[in-house]
Amino acid sequence: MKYKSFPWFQLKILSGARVFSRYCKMHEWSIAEGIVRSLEAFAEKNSIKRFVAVEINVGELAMLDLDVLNEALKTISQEHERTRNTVFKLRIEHVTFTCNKCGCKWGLQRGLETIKGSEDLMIEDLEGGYDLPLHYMPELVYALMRCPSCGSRDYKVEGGRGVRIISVTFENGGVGEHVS
Amino acid sequence: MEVLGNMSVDPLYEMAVQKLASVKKVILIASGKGGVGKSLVAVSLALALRNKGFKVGLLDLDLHGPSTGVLLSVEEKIKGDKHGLVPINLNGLEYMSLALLVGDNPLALKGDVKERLILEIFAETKWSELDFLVVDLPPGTGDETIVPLRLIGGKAVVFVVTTPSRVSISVVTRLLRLLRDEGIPVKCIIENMAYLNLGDRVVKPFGESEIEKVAEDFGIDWVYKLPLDPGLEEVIRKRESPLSSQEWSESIKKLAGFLAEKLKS
Repeated sequence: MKYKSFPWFQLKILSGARVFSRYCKMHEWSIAEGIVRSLEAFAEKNSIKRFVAVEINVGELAMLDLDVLNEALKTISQEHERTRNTVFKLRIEHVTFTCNKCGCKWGLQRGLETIKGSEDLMIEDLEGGYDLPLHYMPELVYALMRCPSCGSRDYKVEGGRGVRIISVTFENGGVGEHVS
Repeated sequence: MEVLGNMSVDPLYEMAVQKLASVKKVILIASGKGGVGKSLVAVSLALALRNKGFKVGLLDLDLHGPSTGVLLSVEEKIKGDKHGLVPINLNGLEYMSLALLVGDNPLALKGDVKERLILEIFAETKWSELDFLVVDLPPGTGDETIVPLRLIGGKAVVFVVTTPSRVSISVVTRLLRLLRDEGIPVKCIIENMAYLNLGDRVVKPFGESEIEKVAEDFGIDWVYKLPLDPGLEEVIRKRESPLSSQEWSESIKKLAGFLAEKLKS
């Protein structure tokens, strides 16, 4: 792997979500598009005319940059009538891990340090940034992370796994039952 | 103005639907049982369809033991872009597998993780405009099979792979019942290891086959028999394409031609 494009990597391997997210900003656009499409589908089912505000929980495990995600949402939402001028409220949902074998509890930063061969696993994007596979598929955590205390892969992941729309404020367009 | 709280809408499903929009037809290679040659059939069929000039993708959806990369001798690294992960290009065949993301790490996946991971794979893989996406499904009839069926729905045709062994056929029959209940069309049963060609005679290592009866019971029109080809393992060890094995290649070419013709009509 070439390090020239990001010399910080050698100094601070796997030092956490904030470091990665500063360099890898492309994937957030794909997520934003998915959110807007999901809102469109939800509006269709529930006869919603326009979303005024949308609250979104963003799982810490995906290591997304909230500023970039917010910017992407603002841009993409303008292209759709029902989400034009919608206010998006994003909130990080933290993740905790509990080992089923030894009872150890840990957070994301400590867990990332257990990922072996992480340099080889990094995925390059077209802007020359590098991400862990977790950035794209947070559920791969079980394949990559181990208990920092006993090394087991048998642990519970609580919270912080995906991106979820948790509440919407909307103007109703007529008949229809709410389906969540 | 109204407020709706306590929701849990996940954008993954819409992202997956969107990513599959560029694919015309999805061929799910399923078996219910492991060890029947499903991955070999998936790889060979994808290569044969590519060789016929179709635009083809191959997705290894085996969550615990992805093995198509071994059959294809894949060494390239996957890259990301604005839309997600870009499948690697193997001389015109687009290819995606979890092995490209986790290397040799064991995939110790819990039950509740599988559904989301399958959705993530579909949601994050950006295929080109494809005529066929061949999907190597894992064994079993759990989320690994049900989630892709739900997601792909009307674009899916299923090819079920079995061996003539009664053990395999009993498992495959359960899968066929599931597919029938879900309204998913099964186009073809492929009986792998159906015979061994010894030159002057043909041997059937598992005895007489019951597969025609199974196909009749489930209203499946096509039964396709593939040989047990001792030359295949040697070809794979030499890191060559499975289609380098003469008898296998001929059989798969016929299958690909048959499929292409039938799907045209």
